[in-house]
Amino acid sequence: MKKCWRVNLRRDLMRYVTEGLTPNRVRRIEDHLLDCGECRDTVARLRSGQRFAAQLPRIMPQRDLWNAIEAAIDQTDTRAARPARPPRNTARWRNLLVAPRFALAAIAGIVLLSVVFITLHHRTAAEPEPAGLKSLEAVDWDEFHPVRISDIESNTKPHVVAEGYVSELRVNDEDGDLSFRLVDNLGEQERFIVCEIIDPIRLKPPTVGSRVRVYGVSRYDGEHDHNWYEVHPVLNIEVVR
Amino acid sequence: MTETRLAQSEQDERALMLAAQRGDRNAFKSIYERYRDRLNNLIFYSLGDSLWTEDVLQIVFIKIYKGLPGFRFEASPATWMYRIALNECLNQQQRRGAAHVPFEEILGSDDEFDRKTLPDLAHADRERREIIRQAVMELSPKLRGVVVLKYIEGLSYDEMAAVLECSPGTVASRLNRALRQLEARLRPFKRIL
Repeated sequence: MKKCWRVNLRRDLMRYVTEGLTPNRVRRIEDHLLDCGECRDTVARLRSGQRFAAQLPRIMPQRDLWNAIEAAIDQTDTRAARPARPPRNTARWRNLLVAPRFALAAIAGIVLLSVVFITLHHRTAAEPEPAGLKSLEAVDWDEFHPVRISDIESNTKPHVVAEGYVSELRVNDEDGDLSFRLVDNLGEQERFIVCEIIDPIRLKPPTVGSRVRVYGVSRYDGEHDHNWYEVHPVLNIEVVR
Repeated sequence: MTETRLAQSEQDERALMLAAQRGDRNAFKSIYERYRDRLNNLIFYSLGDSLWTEDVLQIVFIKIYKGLPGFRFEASPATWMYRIALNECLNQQQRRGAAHVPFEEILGSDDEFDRKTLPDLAHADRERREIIRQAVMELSPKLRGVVVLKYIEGLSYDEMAAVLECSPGTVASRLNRALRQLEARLRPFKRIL
């Protein structure tokens, strides 16, 4: 096919196809198309591409998010109105230190994490491998205390394993960590455990609706608008089904 | 008549934005209802994951709410909100690392594609939309953005240029590349699309 050198006209072919040109310009292009096979081919391809693009399906939101958005902006407004509140982490740690069992849990967690990081560092130096589950191979998962979601409040063990369904997987806007809720039944709002996957132990997030066994450090998040039990950090996730 | 209606709608929208800026929660809810579906489309086609889209849509509306006091009507509210959504998608992708699934992995190659396996019309229609959706997802984010803004949102070249912060000429050039790539990718499926 003969090469077309009418750059000024070729540049307008897109607008010609999407009907964004003046009548005078349209006439010039149509005169040119009579003689130019290459431009006719381009127009045919663009029209075909446009026909495909016009069939692109609209994707509707799966649920109404207004309640969640409103709750978040209420929180924003409250934060903005509250004068000199101690930083989030300070409040958390103070609460943890006040409750002896959670302080013990935290200390045990730190010891466990230190072991994990030393193992990880040792392995990385010897043989470069991605961080994640492999670095936790040394941990004996049988040592983790099984807890039920419904009576996590009575747990006193630092290292727990809980089984349930995954719901509400989300990315924490503040630190980019992933968290999900573990529930006995999907749709359950009252009883749940918040499971947080933190950056150094980046595990593959589970699928919402799947049943999983989550291993990690048990703790209580006493921040005023949280007040819930967590597995934080999550150290291992086993998909049950 | 249509122009009058359009002007009225613009005035309503301005009034809603001003009310929301004064802290009227109902006005903000109306803005959410007006833009929820439109932003959802843009976010979904930017990220390609419905669960992630839900989270990002929520974040975008919170950012819109937080940004309301600083909105000075220098751009249209739609342009401003589209920009917030696109920037948030970019941030999220950078934070997570965008997943890239090759087109062939989803559909199989042209040789593997068996046209006889389309069992009924409804299924065929879903299949057809899915093929087109996947082909669009295979475009680069910049090209995908113009396709969604043009063919789902129906924006003009000038409006797209304002959202994407580039010239209308750049928009035309991106659209040109996007349509050519779509045509090339979907050519093997032309008979069923």
